[in-house]
Amino acid sequence: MFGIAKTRQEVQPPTDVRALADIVLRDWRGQDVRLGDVWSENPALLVFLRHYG
Amino acid sequence: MNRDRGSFAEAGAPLAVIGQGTPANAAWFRREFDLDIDLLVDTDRRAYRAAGAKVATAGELLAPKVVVRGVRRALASGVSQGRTVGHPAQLGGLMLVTPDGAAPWVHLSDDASDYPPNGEVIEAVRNALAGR
Repeated sequence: MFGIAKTRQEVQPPTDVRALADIVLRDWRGQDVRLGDVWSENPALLVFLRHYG
Repeated sequence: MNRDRGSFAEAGAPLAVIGQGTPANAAWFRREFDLDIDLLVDTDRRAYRAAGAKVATAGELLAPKVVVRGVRRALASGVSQGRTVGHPAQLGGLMLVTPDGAAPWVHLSDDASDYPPNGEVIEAVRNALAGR
């Protein structure tokens, strides 16, 4: 129901962030942002919120 | 985290905030909480999956210990949860990434209340980046 998991899942952090780098998201203005560009020159802390609300 | 964004930048890792929903949801969130940071939206949750973030069980959302810890955290931070946007059981997390493609520090939430305090995260970022 509502997409809730039936059984407990384990988190699975990636060993290599290249899987994330080519994902294109939109920003709050609606403009495309390639995720890898966020950390291409300097480190970044990705903050995954549960939701905007 | 918005209040401490300068401290995160000083520790070596500016924030890149990702949420569910649409750009309009993010724009509303930014306006509502008077945020001065860019927000990204992951409408289809591809980045959440690639990051290894999990989808919670009912117990991981609503068990008494989860609710109590969530309320304590909300009271301490002055920020409480509002309306739900996107997948209601998607959990979040934190991931430090570096230009060489490494993730030297990661904390993915185990339940809905599992977010470390900002001070702990800043220290972890500083330690993880030391000597890199």
